[in-house]
Amino acid sequence: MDTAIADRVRAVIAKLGMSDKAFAGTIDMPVDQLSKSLNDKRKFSAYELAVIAEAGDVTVDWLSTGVQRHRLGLAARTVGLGLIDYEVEAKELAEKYVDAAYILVELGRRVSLPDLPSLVPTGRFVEEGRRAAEWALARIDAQNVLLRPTSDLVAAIEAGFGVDVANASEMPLGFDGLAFQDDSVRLMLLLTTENWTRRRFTIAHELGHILWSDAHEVIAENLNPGRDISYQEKRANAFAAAFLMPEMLLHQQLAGRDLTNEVFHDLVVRFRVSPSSMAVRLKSLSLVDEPRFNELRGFRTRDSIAAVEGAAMVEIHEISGAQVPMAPAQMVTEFLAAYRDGEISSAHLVHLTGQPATSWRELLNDSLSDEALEQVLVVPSGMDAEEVFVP
Amino acid sequence: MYQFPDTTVLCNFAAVDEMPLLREYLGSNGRWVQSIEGELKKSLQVHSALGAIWRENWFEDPIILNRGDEPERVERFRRIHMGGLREKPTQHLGESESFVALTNRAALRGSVFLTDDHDAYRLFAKFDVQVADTLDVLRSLVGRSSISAVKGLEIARRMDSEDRNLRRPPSGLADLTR
Repeated sequence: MDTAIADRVRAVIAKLGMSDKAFAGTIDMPVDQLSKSLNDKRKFSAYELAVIAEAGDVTVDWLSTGVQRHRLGLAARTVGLGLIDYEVEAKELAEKYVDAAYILVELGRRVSLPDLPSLVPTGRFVEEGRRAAEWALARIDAQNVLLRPTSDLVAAIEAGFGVDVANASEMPLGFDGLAFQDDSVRLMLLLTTENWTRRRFTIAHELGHILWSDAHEVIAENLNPGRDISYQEKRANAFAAAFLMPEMLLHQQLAGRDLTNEVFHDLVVRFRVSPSSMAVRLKSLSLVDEPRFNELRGFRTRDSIAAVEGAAMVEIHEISGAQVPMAPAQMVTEFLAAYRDGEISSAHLVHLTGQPATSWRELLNDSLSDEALEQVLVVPSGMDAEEVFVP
Repeated sequence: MYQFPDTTVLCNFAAVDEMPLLREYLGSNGRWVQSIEGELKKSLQVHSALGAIWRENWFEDPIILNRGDEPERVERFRRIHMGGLREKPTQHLGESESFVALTNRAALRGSVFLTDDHDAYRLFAKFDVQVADTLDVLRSLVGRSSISAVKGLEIARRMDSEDRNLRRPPSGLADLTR
């Protein structure tokens, strides 16, 4: 074991192109002790491994075990973007949350994730998306989740499917979201945006990937519904449509009314989707014919908002939620419980949320209201005042 | 038993040039781990008064955490409990080495960890390690009549004016005599 550690330390020294003596000087370690450790006559200490790791830009894990744990792969699913340029950035973003999830597992705060469906491929992406949606809809209170604010949808996805959902203000340029899953974590990372209908669709799309276990490598998404060419992307789009606008719920909300423009806009606002998404869904369910579909798909979200009384407030609420960087609520809640129980320092919470240690200390003696939790989940951004949405 | 001050407490006294008082408090019981020594060497550039530690041999040789699985224990405590990042291997290393020394070595059990770091204080106490902070040191010095309460309060206020963050800054003389 120590021989292997010594070999990896030698590899670090070789990478830096230094003599043993020069390297010992760099890490402030007596050269005779370094020599003994390299020759398996003395074990490296915790401190020595740390300063060697720092000097060599490697991890202590790697020096100790030879394994770079939790290196995430990136699925090359995006088209038209300089994927390689953003690969490191995308993986680093995901690793921040994945590492946090692993620590919750180590702390015993996360025992197991909810089961995923046992889905059998049929070779037809629409059918596969629909079947996953049926499975998912059976596990949430569809009427109370899908006709409510997107924050409720996110909460239902976190609770029902064990997915950590974060809003991030920084994503590789052009990407809408990331998804990643393994045995210990399911992660969905969304770009902050004022385009709230697109974000809602992205949430459902990423859930589709996770339910079909597509995301064992990080999927970086530049969503392009209607133009996506990969089977998995088309299946995730089919899932998103069937999940966000379930056939039964659509019929119930339609309540036998003719699909006039007024009724169409009403459905758009009720389901909080874009007019084009709703038009495609209505057509796929044969509720509108081709000419009517072409009329409906021409509407913009602003048309539906203008047509429905009270819809402007719905939009303001949705935009506010979509624009704010937000740490995963379930993850923060679990770390906060560990912090309150004295098991961890506030560093995990600071790292996840960007909120300073003093904010977390203040919470120690207070009972945490929902409002207070919402405030500490919000990741402070470097946005200038004029960049913030003003309704 | 032994006293294991971290850099917060040592730098508090160095910042106000009152190292002899801390030395008096520690006597010959001061001990340190390798990473605390490493951190203090870096802090020397800011607080030259720390040089007394080496000149006067306050702490003997640093404790080297390389027995059995001690390096793994240190890394685990640092990552899981202190929240140190994997890509910053020396982040929270001083607290983590001290913790493993105080909990893993029979000869050091019952020793006190001296810190003004809120999180470290709370975490060590949770794991049944004795902890004390700068206010405890000042109170002890007042209690043994090494300094007056007025002097103790004045020192604490000077620390504050030097931007040293005491875990419990005394608000008046009564806080020094409890």
